[in-house]
Amino acid sequence: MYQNAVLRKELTTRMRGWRSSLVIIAYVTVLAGIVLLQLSTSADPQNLSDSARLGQSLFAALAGFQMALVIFVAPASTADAISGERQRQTLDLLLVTGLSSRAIIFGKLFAGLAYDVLLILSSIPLFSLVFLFGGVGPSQFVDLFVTFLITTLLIGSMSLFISTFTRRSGAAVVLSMLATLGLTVGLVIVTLLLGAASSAAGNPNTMPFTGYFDPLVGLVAVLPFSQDIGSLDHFTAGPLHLSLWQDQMLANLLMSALFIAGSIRLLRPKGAPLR
Amino acid sequence: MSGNGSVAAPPAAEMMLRTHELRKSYARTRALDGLSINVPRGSIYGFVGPNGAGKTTTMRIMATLLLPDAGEVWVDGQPLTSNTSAVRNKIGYMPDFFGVYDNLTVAEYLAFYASAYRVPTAETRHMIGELLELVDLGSKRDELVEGLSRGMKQRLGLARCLVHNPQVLLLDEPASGMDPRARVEMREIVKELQRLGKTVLVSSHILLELSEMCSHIGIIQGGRLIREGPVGVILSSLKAARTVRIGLLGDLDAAADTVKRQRWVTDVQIVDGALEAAVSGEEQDLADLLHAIVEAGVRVVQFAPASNSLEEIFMQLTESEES
Repeated sequence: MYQNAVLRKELTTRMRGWRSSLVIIAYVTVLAGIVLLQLSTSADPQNLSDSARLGQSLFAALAGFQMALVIFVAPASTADAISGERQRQTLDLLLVTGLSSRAIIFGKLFAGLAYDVLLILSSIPLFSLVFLFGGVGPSQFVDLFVTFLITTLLIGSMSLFISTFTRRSGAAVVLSMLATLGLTVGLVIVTLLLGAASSAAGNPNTMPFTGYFDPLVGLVAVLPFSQDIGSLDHFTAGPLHLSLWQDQMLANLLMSALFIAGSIRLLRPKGAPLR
Repeated sequence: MSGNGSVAAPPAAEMMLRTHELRKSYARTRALDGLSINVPRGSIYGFVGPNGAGKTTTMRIMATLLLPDAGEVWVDGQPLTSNTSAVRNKIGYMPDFFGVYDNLTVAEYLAFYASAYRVPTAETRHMIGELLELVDLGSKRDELVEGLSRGMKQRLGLARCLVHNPQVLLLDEPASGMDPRARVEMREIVKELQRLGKTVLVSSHILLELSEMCSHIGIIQGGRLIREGPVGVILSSLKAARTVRIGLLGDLDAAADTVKRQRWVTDVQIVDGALEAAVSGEEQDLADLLHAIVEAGVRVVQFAPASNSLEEIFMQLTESEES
């Protein structure tokens, strides 16, 4: 993949200078602040059950903060990938090279998301503190990070798709932000409304289909106290009877693939030879 | 030979770039209306036409950025639409307006495009050095692109076109926005590229520039070819209607009457203290005209074409096409 000229160039320029390192340091510092705040306001961590509860609440707080980061950072990472080339008048120069549309799109996508992934991975040591307190298993830990990565891929590919048909980077970023808010907060509201309607109709254990497409539902499904707020794991769907979280991740991957395919299709100007 | 108004051209096999009956419309605007041009191998072909004539559309089709509604393009004998990938490797394209990646150094910028064209890494470093010398940017190799002047960025853009050693260069208004010195430098580089065996298709509104640089010209208007061929052939084919500026001493009105009586002269006007005579005929007739008016007692101090030849041809042709 590093042979991809676009990916190599983007990584070189994005990581150039001190700004990238500074952002990572600042982000990890903020996460450390959250940990300290949680510890200072917790009950006696010497008590075993309090300790597990502290581990779970710390895990949830960090997860919520990191998901917010993904929601706000991932759109900006790829929204100007193609619209920026168009605005800078460099897109035509790229399209006449030997690079295929697929190579350009994948190069832009992975380069855009690489920094987000680096931010996510840089948080692992702080997340690992939850193991000192208990209440969170390794599988939940892994599932959470898989959720972050797949959500980043979904939002990044959706923003890249928007980027292929917008002329200005500013417009692409705003549209991507709105689409991301719709996909997360918007779908939560729709899911709750549909769920309430379903309960009123006598089907209290039915997950509205919109829930399977909302990354926030996927996040809640993987958190350790999700059993306390309505047993989301009871929801299964499809012939494989996968859990809500598994269905969620599959749906997100499928949507990502569709957005990537759409981006490849839309990259070249209408009426241009495809490749 | 296809295309209206073309001067006899070499056979198709000698053509590096050919279009046949290209048509392209945008919504209700017809950009190309059956354009057929022939660019001989190793030539510098000046693509001339007023704004909206279809020059940029033609170049974008040749660069594989647009598909024509009808017609075909051949690059080195290969049809563009059926072999896009191979054709891209033969073409270097420089649009009229293009941007650069400001946060790369000059060498990194060229290395990126070399990599995009899959030039082997082992060749890249040496090739970049040669290209930067060619466009006179050798001393800027490790400087950021954002620090270059407009003229330097244009020259860097030309070097970018060459990273994959294409046989054909499509240069759309390469000197636009440049100062006179930079224009001359660009012209010299294009001539050097021809000496290196490249075929160059260059569009420009500055006809003087093209007349000093091109071996062939193609004049288009309204998406159609008006005239095409070697510059010298086209100039001589249109000499029947040239204007000659005659500077003289003495009474201008009397001299104008004398000149008007000569059989080769169709019209005479006094412009800026001299006569401008519309003259028909060949080179010999011009000599006879000069001899006749001197014999008639007119004291001639200047006898020369009234304006730039290519400019004049362009105006004549586009005016007659419009009428």
